Amino acid sequence: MEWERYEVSGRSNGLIYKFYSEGPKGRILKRVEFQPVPELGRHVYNVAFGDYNATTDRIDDKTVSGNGDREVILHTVADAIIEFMDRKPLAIILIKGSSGSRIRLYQVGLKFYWPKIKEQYQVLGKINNQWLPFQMNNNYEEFVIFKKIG
Amino acid sequence: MIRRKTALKKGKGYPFWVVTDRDINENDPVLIRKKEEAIKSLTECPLPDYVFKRGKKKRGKKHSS
Repeated sequence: MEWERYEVSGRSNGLIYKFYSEGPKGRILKRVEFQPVPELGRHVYNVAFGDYNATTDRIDDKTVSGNGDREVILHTVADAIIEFMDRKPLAIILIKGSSGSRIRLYQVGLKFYWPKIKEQYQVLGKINNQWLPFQMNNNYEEFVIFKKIG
Repeated sequence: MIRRKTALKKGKGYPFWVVTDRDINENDPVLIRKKEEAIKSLTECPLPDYVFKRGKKKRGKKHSS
């Protein structure tokens, strides 16, 4: 399977990935950051994704760029997550969108990737205050993805 | 050229590179909020134990010879 995505560069021990969205609104710097959450466990990471403002060194996870490249961005973010887990096989990745539409977008991405990732990774979705194995037709509030290990 | 197509397969040109010159900005309000949300979520609804026990060596009983 092959699809279009943006080239990504990683920084800071591989905790930060950046790439540019390109389209009618211009060239917009995006970041995917894997924030360690040691309070929850040694290998737990939170995914933060959004436009990056280099002046303030902050992410904006609510802006919609409007560059018409939603799918390319989704694939790029998914690539970053998979690459991160390849480097850190014990990582437990928490994925929660900043809004209902972002959560739905991530769910669409997971459905797209599911045939490819289900052999190597396990995904749990939170629904009605319970973590359950991901199923294509359910709507979840947030997700956890981790690599299957022996 | 920013765009390119690559196969999603390890060893087939992942378009990533890694440097170690910068850390996450832990003072970023978005990261602070997301961390708080994650802690709240997993405190109220913890993940199953097996998620954290992956990769840990199982300790078996020692056999006497």
